[in-house]
Amino acid sequence: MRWFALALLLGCKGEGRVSFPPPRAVARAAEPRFADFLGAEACASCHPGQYAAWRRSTHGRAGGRPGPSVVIAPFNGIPIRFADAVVTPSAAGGQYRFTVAREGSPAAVLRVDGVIGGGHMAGGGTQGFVSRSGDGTVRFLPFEFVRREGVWFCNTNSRSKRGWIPITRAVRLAECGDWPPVRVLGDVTRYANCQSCHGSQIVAVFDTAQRRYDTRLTALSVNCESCHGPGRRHVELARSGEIRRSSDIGMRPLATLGKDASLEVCYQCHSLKDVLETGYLPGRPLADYYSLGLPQLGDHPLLPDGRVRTFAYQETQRYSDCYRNGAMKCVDCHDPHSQGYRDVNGAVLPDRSSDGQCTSCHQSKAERPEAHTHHRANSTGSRCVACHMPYLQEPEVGHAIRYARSDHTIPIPRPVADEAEGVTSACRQCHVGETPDGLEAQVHAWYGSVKPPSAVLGQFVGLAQFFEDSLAPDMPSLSGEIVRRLEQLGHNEDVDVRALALAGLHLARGEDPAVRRFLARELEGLGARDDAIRKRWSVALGFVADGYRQRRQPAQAIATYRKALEIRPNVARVLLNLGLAYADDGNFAAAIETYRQSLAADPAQPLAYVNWGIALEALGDTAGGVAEFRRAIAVDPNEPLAYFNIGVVGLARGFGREAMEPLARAVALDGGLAPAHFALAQTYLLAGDPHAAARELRLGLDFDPANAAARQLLEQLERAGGGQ
Amino acid sequence: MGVVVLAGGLARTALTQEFTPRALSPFAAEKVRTLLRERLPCLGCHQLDGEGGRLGPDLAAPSATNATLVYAMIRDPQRMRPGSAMPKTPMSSETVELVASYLVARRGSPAGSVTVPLTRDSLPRDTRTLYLTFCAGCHGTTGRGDSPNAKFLPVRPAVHADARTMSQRSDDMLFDAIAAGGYVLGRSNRMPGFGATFSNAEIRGLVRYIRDLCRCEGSR
Repeated sequence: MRWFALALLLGCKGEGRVSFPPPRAVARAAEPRFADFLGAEACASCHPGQYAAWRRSTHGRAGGRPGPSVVIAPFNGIPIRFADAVVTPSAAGGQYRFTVAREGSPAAVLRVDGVIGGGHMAGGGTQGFVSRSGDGTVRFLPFEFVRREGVWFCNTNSRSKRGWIPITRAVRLAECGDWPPVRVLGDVTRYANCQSCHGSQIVAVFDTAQRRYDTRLTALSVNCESCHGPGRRHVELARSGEIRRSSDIGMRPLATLGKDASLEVCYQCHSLKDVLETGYLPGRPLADYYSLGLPQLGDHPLLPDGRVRTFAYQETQRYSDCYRNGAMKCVDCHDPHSQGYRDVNGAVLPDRSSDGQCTSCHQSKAERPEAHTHHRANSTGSRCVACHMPYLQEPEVGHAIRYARSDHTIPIPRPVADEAEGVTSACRQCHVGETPDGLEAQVHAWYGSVKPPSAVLGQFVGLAQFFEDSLAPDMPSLSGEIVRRLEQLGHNEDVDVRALALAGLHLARGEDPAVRRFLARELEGLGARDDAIRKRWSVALGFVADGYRQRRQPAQAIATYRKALEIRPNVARVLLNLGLAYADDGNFAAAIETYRQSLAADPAQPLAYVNWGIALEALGDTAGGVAEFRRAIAVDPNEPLAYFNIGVVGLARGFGREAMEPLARAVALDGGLAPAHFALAQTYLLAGDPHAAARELRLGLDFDPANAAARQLLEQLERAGGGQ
Repeated sequence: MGVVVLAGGLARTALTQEFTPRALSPFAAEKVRTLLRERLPCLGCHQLDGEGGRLGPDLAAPSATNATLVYAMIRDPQRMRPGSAMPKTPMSSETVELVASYLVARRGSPAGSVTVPLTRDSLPRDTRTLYLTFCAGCHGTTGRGDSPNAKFLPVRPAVHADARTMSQRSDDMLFDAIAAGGYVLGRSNRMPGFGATFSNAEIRGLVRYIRDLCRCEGSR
């Protein structure tokens, strides 16, 4: 405290720049560890009723090892035909596989090691497949099956951006974002991933001793401990008999949780989240590992009223009136063991459209239902959920595959406002021939003026938008009103709002002595929230800096990354990105020093070595560069970019044959690495093999179709007759 | 453990039951205490370990009331004691058994059976009587939120005579609050839900009664 007071004094006199206090030491709980989770079978003998209900539930049947009782997709040898490939799903001897045949390439066999989903969801249920990769990751395969349409499909959003589309002869294999498989199970920052939700206790970490990923999971279903936390102590206490003598049962009871703590259990998976720290396991504080608000930066997945703009989950419930002005939790309608439906008092309800979900709180609406619904009693349109929780197609999916989820913001139908937001109103879902204006008039005739859409998310959306669009590093001025508003939001109860407001002030006016003093005071006073706020603050600044890098504004990126490091020093990932920004700016010496710092913070970063090598090369030290690429391989022998850069160096020095092997290794490790295909093509040309060169050019163009040089070269080869 | 039906009553109008409480572990007892403090409305009227209202008996005070009557009163007080001011709170049978077992243990209730009527007696109740019986204990006889019991509640009861506040609540909001209680509507759990105790017509009558108290109309 004393040093801070001194700094503050100096700052007041304008004699020095106020330093920010360092982060508080975080005593991270050692438990739970992976070994603390025992699996669902350990629960069955003492809790047979709950176990039996769970076993039949969608969580209990959410996935598993491939087998007849789990797989709904046809692994019957009937090929899935792409424009440029034939994929044959087959099963024999309990083994399920996809065989991918492409002209000019040897057939590839993708073994199915796990099944994700069972096509259970009423709004469109799908099933995907994962395969254990040679580098220890478990990767999603690109071919998925949807029960309702009964077709194979793939997600093209990261490539041709056509949404989820059925696979036909008009679709190229490379349109599928998961071809080649790159999306992994678990929070692995190196790869795209679906976090740890498609299974139970998924932990994927890079094992530096084994030089590969170690992916561990308890099950591909969603098991008891996914919600209840680790069971080891509970079972030990039960076996010893101690559980009957103590109020400590070795497990957190869920039945008496308040609404936010209860929701957090479900939001582990039923929400969009930004990763703040890897290594989450159920039972650890969710807010230490994930932010539910920050995904709104950049992608803007939610509309201002909380409804889905692109793709999201049932976390939109927290924007409903029932949550904000009531006590509604997920488990008030969903039985957590059976996933059946129930009312707020726990009475079992027949199905998802049962009015009891709503009328157990809103009994007035059950008094004379037709007076409220204006629809014939017992008709589909008279169900509460028909108007207040309509199934809405997830916009990012497109319209070829039905994938609709019930609107958990539980809105009032507002036909005109809904359409203006791009949402098909609940009214128009049935009355398809009516205009929004006509429907709006009917709503007004029945209910009078309807309250306007809630802007519950508006504050965060507005703040996020302002943060992204209107703030820049160290702006010469910012109106006093904006500073005051950001300072106010810096005291908000919501950690995401608070962190974003503080990050905004830091970004735009962090060098203003008064603002800096304010920020220093805030940091000093964060107390138990120090870690949670700093992580979000740093991630938000990192997001802005990444944007500057993408827009080729390295100076702004550098300034912003440095601010992120002021809040959380020595974060390996931020240091690596800062190094990249220095390299973008042509300051390779600073880049190398920053990579060195990043590796000191986390030595298990092959990409830091790769970029260090690239920087050395840029400084003319090719031998040093290659040495760094080899250090990357020493860390992770499956890092494709290390082999690619060794190959490129060899190629640049005219050693085509020496370059061929590492480049071939690079494309074998990542078939989607277009530059590696193009470089490999050049080595084949140097070796006098135009056929192989043309093949590699075509493979590269699958992933980088706009590469004019590669296309021109391929055309030349084809004209010369060597590319056929 | 559980409830055993011992015999049918005359002309099958009643059943004799006997409740055997379960032995609660310290964890189960703590769970009940949490439910009573944070979820259920019981402490609106009853005190437990110094916390809660003073309208009903102290839940932990020694009592000669037998275990089955404790259970039956929690399950459906109006059936057991027609005219009682204790409403029926919807609970799962497991929760009823858990709470009853806890209270029986705390009160040292003796074993014994009770005769439970098969149906509730439907007593004619005018709205004013309903208000004075079920509401006035906390909200005050004139709806000023100033009953002697109010000071034992963590949240001041709604002032039904307050036109400014009450006019911001629609009739349906008042209906739902009476029917579902405070907890599910994000308000105090000490306010019971009366949906399993009153008919819809009785609840509408109470809404009108509150409108008379506040001399106001509700929002739409």
